[in-house]
Amino acid sequence: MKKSLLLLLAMLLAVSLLVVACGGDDEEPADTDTGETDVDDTDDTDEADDTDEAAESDVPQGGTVTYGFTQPFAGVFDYAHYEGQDDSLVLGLFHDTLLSTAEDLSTIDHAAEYEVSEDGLTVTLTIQEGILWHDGSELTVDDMIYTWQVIAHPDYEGPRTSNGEMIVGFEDVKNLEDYDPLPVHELEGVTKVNDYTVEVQVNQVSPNTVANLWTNPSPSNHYEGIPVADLMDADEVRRNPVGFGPFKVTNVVPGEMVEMERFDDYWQGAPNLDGVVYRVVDGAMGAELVQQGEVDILEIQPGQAVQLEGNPDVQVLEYERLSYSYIGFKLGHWDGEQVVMDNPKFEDVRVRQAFAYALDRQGMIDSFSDGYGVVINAPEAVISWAYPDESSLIQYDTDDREADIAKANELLDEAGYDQRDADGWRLDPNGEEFTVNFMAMSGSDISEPRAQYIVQNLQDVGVNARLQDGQLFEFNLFYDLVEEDDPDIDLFMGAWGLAADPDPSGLWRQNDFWNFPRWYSDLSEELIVRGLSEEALDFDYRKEVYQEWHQHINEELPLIPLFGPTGVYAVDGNVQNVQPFLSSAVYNPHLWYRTDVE
Amino acid sequence: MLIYTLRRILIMIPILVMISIVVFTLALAMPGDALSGQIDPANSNPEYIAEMRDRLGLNDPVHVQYARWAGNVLQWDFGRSYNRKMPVTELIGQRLPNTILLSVMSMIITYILAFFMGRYAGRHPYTIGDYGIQGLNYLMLAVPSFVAAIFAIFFFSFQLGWFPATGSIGSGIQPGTMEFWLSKLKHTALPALVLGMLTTASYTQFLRNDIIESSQKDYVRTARAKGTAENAIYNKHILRNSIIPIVTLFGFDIASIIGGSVIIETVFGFPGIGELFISSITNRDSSVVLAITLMLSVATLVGNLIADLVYGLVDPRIRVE
Repeated sequence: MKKSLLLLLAMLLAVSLLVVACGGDDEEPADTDTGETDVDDTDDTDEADDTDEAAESDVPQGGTVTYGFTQPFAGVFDYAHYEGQDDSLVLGLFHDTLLSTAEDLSTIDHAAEYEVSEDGLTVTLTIQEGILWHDGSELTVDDMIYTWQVIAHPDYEGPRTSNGEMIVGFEDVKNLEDYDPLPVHELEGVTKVNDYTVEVQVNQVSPNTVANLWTNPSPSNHYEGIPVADLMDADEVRRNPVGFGPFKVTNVVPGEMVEMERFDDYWQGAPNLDGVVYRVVDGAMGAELVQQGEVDILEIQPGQAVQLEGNPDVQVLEYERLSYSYIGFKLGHWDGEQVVMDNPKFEDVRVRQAFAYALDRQGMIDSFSDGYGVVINAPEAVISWAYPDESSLIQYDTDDREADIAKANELLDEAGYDQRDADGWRLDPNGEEFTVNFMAMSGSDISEPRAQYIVQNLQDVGVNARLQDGQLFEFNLFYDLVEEDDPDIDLFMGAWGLAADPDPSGLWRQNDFWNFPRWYSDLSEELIVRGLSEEALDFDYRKEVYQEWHQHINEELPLIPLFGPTGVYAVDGNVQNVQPFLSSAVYNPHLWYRTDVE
Repeated sequence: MLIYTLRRILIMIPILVMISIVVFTLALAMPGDALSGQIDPANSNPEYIAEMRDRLGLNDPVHVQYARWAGNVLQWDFGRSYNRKMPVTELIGQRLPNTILLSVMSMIITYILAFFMGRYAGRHPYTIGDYGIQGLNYLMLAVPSFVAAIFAIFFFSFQLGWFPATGSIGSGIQPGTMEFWLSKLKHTALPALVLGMLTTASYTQFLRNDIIESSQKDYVRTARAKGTAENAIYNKHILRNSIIPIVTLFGFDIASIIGGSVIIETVFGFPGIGELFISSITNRDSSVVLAITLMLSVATLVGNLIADLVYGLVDPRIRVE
């Protein structure tokens, strides 16, 4: 008996040794194991960022950085065809753009200069000379012209049509009956001046022409001979994409990892790192993975940032996201063509304002997002140049919570909701029962308590609010019901991502399907049109118009803006110069460097 | 035997048709579709989405959509993944090798553990060693797999640093080299270990009970009576008989080999079929969901058939007619 027990133990031990042997052959973290080539001879690496004049050449060279993302990527590495952030992060690392976005979200020159003519109908782009693609060919306007021809092509199925249709002649090419499978059909409004300059005629004058126009060139030499219909699946896009960014792609493991190495001929100067690895990881362990060094840069949930505070080995970087959360009122429905405002429930603006006063928005941020967020009173990103002057807006959320509640009660009383039933709930002006269904999305662990908190806020002012059907709704179901204006919905909590240009069309016009509160007003319509008019080519005028529009929305309150979320990146303490901006930390990646290279 | 096999294969056809109808209807009945997540004023507009819905045929009646889908499947065209922008067959082809590697590794671990533990427990029933093995088995059976996975990551990856916590391959490695395969094995080891250990219990108990039962049979008593050594009795006479039910279980495992594990793959960020399945469901990527479900149905049916056939092969007393 003893012998066989020993045998069993020996076998178990053997199995575990086998397993250990598989895993234990090298214990060093995966991100530091690249060869220490090209190491600069500077040894004052620690003081590198003390002095401002220390140019890029003075920072340590070499090393690899792992950029994590929490969703598998589609792998469409072409600007004209990609759809999600999963792919745009990779594009940002190996590709670059002609124009870029400034900190106040205005469009600025980058690899090219742009100029809009006096009449606003011609845009001239001048590309800097000598910029090289990774395959060695030079970036010229032919690449840009090629890209527009791809987008205009009848076989093109990507989502960029709206960024090209302002070009004169775009529709003509799009509607060709008899066409070549290659993007060879020229657009009438595009004129090549020389290899580096191109003029584009647009159909109508608009202040956001440059912001909307597609200015991310695709490599026309690299794609030579590929029909438009096959581009999205081509190996030239998925397996060995080519860009003119700081890193070039060396290996793509579909859905899991993209490896990139430095591109020494990058037009803004050779990057400091040897390479970047883009890697898909599980977001639930995000903060821990950064602490362990499995990834160096990763966007994490604000709730995870708390455990990183005070850890000297990890930097926690914050940035304002281009999005906002809101609670919308259902004020009407969509009749298939346009918005019809016919729901009397929240017709009275005083009721809507009272609800806004009743909500404790700062409390929501503090309790459920660990303070990562900014209370907003306008549906716009706080960093945008079009964000209105807060002092001109009605503040629905002051430091004095008692006063806010008193104000809410006062407004509701004024509006005729002053009678109460036996349970103390307010009755509507006709003495009928007044219940409010609040609909919220499920998805994260804070969804449920936050929704309960909002319901409680409303109950505090005597409004009989409750979660619709007593539950939260899964994302798809939520938007299905909101889109079809389900009659049970009174209030719904949603969020919008924003573009850099502040034009509210698309979400606020009478004929916008995505105008979910189903609200419009003559003044709002007029201001939105004026914001895109010829006069709005004058920046100050346009800013003024949006200021006025936001004030109007702030008073009318078809939706209550809640907060602009603050994004959080966890970055390894040894990786420097990472600066999250707009929607990701891929911002000037050629300046990133590691302090722990030898 | 041949006729039996053919009959079984023929019966599969109507079963598959019925499964496909049910799965297809359920997939379409899920609220939302692949385009629901695309409402983003920064990048898209309602006309584009409406046009895409139309082009994808999502507005057609259900039976029309089913007929089109079924017709394509018969020509080995499973459609395109809307989210991953590639043909479904290619997508599954990318994931399948990872999942197979993971499943085979975990099965080997399960079999080795179950074999030795079951053999020991069966030979020494109702001893401390037997109770210890039973306790351990039921403990592992009771632990939810995601808890075990997170513990394993915490302990083996974060504390000891023996295994990487996520992914299926390290960076900077040339495909096809020795280093590549070692990296693959290293990345697969931890999820395989968790997956393998958790399913050991049933196999161990199967083997143990069968050994105990066999040891009381007449032929064992005869062997003892004629003076055969205990070791020979257990290792030759009993073990060969008791291994039969274990071998046939293999057939049922075929579906799980290609199905992978939804939970383990998700926690480990391991790009296999299970992870693809769950993310396709959340993204309403119905062509992928349908293809995987169909694949698993076929695998289960074939696996059951193989199990039945193997049963007849290893045990000559059983004849299938």
